[in-house]
Amino acid sequence: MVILISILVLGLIGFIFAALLGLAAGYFKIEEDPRLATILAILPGSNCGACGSAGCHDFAEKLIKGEVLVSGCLAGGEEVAHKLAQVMGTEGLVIHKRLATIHCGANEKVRTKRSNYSGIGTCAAANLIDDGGLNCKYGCLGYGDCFCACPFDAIRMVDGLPVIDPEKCTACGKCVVACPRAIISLRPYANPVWVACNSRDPGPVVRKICPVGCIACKICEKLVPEVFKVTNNLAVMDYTKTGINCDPAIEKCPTKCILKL
Amino acid sequence: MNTFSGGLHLKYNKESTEFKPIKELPSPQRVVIPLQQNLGCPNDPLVKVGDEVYEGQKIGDSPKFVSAPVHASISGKVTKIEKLPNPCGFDVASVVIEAGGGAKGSVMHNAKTLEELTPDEIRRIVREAGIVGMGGATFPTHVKLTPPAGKLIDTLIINGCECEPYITADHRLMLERADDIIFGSLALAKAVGAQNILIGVEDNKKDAVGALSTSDEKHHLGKNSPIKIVEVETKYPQGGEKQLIKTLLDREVPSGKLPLEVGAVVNNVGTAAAVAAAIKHGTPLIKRVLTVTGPGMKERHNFLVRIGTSFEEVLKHSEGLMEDASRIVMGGPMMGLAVSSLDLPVVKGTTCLLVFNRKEARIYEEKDCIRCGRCIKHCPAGLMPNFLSDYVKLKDWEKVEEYHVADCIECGCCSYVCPSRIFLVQYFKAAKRELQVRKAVCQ
Repeated sequence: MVILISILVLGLIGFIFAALLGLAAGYFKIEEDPRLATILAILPGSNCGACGSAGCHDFAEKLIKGEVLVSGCLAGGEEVAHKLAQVMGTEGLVIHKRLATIHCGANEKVRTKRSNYSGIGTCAAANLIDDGGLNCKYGCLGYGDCFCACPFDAIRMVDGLPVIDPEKCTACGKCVVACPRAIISLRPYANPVWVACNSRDPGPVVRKICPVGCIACKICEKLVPEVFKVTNNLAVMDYTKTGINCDPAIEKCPTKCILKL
Repeated sequence: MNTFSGGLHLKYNKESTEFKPIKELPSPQRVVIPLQQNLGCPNDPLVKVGDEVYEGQKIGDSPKFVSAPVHASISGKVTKIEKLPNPCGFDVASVVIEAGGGAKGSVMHNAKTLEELTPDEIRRIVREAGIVGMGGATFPTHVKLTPPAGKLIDTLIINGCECEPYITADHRLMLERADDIIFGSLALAKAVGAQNILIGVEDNKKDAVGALSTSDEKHHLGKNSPIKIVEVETKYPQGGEKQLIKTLLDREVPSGKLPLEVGAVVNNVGTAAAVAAAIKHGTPLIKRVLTVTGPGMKERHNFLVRIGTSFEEVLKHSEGLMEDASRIVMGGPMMGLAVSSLDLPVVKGTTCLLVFNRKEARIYEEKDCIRCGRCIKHCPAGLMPNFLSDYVKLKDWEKVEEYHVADCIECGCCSYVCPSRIFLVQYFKAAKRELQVRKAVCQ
């Protein structure tokens, strides 16, 4: 008898709670856009934050509300943008893929030092004291802050100099922010040429301290005037101009600081 | 004895220089004078290349309030004005002067006595003389002497603690120029309108307390003297501004606020002496006392050096370096900065040149935190360096701010006591800079 009563009472309580839960589920139901799950499946899911939203889910919600563009996911690039465009019904989409670029070519074998830095091993800390002991105030410090910042494993440190993997790089811009010397910028993927120097020191100074630095000789400017321009003792390239043959400049550059993929 | 919480009892190593009188170095052939030697805004040059300047001529000034002009420390010719490295670790526009020839001119002259001067006139003299905090922080003194309207300053504190090991520059100054320090204190007190003057001296410098209390200036004041000389506990960082206020007045400066908030202004004894020189003789700040010491030196000295003299020149006048000398630090062993080149000039904030030998300069490998909590126990600012350093490593800048990195006085107690040799204070210095940059970007 006792057993029967307990089964009944417990069963009844269970039933009441089940009914309450059922009601609550109906009452608190959140209408979720069916596209959200599809969009989340398309997005890379690395939550890198490069789009400016707080992670991929936030980006997906904003996309449905129309607050961001389908091309907003920098990490996903062209492929994701096209898929998102299909889901959202956007058409006629043209996306220019970009790529992180290291504007320094001096690895630790050629970098010259004036003192030994023995503090915290990050670029940000080294840059605070006497330019990290380097003679060059503008070049790579080599402690790999960009390497640590990259969420896509697209940066390798080779001889103390970061090297970008063009296939893995999504141009999220995290390394651009991480570099205390602003050596990294984003250039269009279609342009394989870049200037691997960031030094605004005058030519004779650069000659003394770095074998691969831009000495502002203006040879590139003379050979390919459409693209190169020397300002502030540094060859500056117009990266938006693609399809122009820069080979003469690359060949004639005396310090070989113009590089090609 | 009242004191602040935290801090350390260090080995002071002051014996070798505290009895050595200050020796004035001969005027150098060439000086490099950085146009920014103070916290705040850089100065614009007032001279051109080729100009002849006289000793004490103002060569750089700025229209901004938080700035202090710089002066030529030798007579000669301006040969270069360009960006040159500065001991603080970055390049600053500097004026290079070569001795010889030299224009004639006179430094500013003040005919009035201290009683006749108004607070405004004192502030003007202090600014024109380019006086900044001589303890090493180089905050322009006239800014400290200008309390905002409605703030009442009741106490002027003169900081004679000199709590960093090895340094004896202020100690010697108190012994040799006690009169000037008392006179300067009176002038500073008049400028801020303070009724009381407290001179805090650590109790390992009894002779300095004696010299100050028996000085002629103090004697003149008689019984109703506003000046009180207080012996404080010998403990690092007793000479920290906020720590000294806590010790002497038992008032705590709120987080992120200035000592003005609790009605006190703190100035170094060196600053007081410089103010006295400016008022009595019209001399701008072109010389400072500098201790040259450390286990890497054959002989240790207290020198009176012209600003802009290169470190190499200063070391030349001592007996030279030991063979195993391996690192030179500007400032004390706790807060000083390693020097990267001997061409760097002495600036207004250079209190000491400390030469370490190889053994002392050894840098230990950083290990993981063992959660002993010693850094918390010893932090004089009441921070939690262990958590703070973790947040800095994680780059969680919001948390770093929440844990009050801005209140860190960079005294180095945490790094000193850490058994895992974590570079705590170095992380905080880097983080402060990072936050500054971030704020600048946001604005």
